[in-house]
Amino acid sequence: MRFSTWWDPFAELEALQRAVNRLFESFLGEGEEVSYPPVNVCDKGDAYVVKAWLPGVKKEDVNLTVLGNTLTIQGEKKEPDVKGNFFRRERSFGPFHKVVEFPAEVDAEKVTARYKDGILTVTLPKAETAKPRQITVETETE
Amino acid sequence: MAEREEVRRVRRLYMPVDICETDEGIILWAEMPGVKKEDLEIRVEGNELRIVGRVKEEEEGRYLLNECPTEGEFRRTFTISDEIDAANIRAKLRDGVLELTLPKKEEARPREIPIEVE
Repeated sequence: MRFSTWWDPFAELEALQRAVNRLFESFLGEGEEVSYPPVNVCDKGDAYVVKAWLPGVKKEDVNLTVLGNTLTIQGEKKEPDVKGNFFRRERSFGPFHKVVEFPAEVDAEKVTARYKDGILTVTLPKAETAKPRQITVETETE
Repeated sequence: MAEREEVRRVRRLYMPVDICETDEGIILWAEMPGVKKEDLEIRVEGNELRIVGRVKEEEEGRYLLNECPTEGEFRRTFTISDEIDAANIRAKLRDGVLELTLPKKEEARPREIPIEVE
């Protein structure tokens, strides 16, 4: 026996919030589509740091490939196996694939990755030839 | 002359949730990547459940791509039913996902009534 109407779940407040959330869904810019997962790429001089938002993804379900000046992040976000009656489903699940391109080549041997609090951080040292160099301007003395 | 009040502008971040009802209660999952336990606040007041999680990314350098906000607040408020045993709500934060278990009060759980056969 199921009491489907006993529960007046998350009332009016939620309806309002959904409207607000729709507004925030476009937080990444003027409605531009960003492929999953969203990433931040930071140039730290001798390395690039990539941070990908992957909440709820298991570490073992992510694969990273580095080739030349690209990093490929692929994997699958698996849905938890729960028996019940869902009345709100806003999260998304499934396979993902994203290629991040850098302006310079990276040293694939030295790439390190870490997953914490739902964020994947990949540090990719630049290839020796791609590292910034200081060029001294010589002055001619008369 | 009154002092001008400082306006704190916190960017509100999109936090998707899944909510599931089982016989035992309600399970809520909320995605809040980057939020640490100490930056998460879960408060029940009356029948209002409020979740706030703050996040801040500190990385020095030049951003080439910025698809994730580097600072902001995940924030949502829900109204919970009287059938929920508010004193026994449990929270678990793992891999950037908050899992809240809201048990139903004993009397609100569906019961199977055995039919006796004569």
